[in-house]
Amino acid sequence: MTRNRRQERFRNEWAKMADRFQELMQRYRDRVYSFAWYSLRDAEAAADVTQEVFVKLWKNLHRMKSGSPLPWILRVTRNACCDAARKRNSYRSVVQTDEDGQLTDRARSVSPGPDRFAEANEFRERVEHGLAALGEPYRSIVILREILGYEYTEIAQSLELPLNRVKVYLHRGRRRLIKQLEGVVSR
Amino acid sequence: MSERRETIDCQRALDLIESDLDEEVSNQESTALESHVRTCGSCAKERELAARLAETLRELPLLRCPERLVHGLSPLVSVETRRPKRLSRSRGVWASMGKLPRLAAAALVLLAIVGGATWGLRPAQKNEVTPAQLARAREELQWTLAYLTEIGHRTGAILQDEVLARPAIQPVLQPAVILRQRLLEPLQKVSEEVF
Repeated sequence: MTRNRRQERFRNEWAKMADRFQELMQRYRDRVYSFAWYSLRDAEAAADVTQEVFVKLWKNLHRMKSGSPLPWILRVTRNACCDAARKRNSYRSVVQTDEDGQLTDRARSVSPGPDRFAEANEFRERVEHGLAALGEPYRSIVILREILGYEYTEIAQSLELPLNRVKVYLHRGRRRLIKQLEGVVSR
Repeated sequence: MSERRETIDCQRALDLIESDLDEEVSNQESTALESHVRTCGSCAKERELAARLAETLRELPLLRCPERLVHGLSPLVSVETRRPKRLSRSRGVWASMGKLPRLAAAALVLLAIVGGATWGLRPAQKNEVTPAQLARAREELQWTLAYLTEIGHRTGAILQDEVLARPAIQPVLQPAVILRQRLLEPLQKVSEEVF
């Protein structure tokens, strides 16, 4: 095979990969970004995570010959969020919980007061804070199931957990959130 | 006939509240939960909060990924930013070497191959080499010489046939000891000259 033919073949393969990548990015970018945003509650960090996920996807795309890359994408996003949270080490300073899982005074102090927001918005704000303060894997499972609407089987496949354990973790995650919200609502 | 009513405690009620969010409760369980929350204030509050939480979570919007991210990733997939690795790698190794080092490297490879081949012939018998062993040695030498010729073409270096080729090719019917002597001595001379 001549050098020109090799180059032409290479260019064709590259163009196919690039098309597939663009298609996947178009399909999943909002979901990846949302997953990261609700995990970290930080637009800049969520953008960094999204970029990291798609750079990794491009580098590994040639290995994904068949099947949906969704589980891989969600798993990489979850791991990138955990790394970002660990590096930043400040999401716990924004939203902290005490031993009983209640929001602390410091967390309340950075949240807008009821005079600025309607009650529904404030409740939503509390939910978002509480969600970001949940530990793993509860946070990822609650986001994937309740916000992004994935099936249990998809979540189990993505996080490499048995199906029953996903259900148990989802229940525990909800319980923890409710416990946090009880403290806020009762005041 | 009176209807049998199941009574549940608060722990069971909390479990059912969770299951109810996933719509995984039977009619009987649902009835039991209803009758429990009618008489238990804390479970009723818990149920209301759970339902409100689930509703709030489901109403959280899917966020739009910033466009600048998409544009930022575009150069990543541009074919102009990449060249085939195989082509650049194969040219790079030879391009970085001068003529003399190329010849020296080739001679060393030859030395290693021929030395290994003839050494492998030695343990057969005293001064006795089977025709199969000789044929194999001859084939290996021919490949090695072809390789050296190719190196010569690429580098412009000239390999002397009388030094390498004839003593290597001809002694097919001679014992391995003579083969080694005739082959290794000239090669040692070549390597001494090179270095």
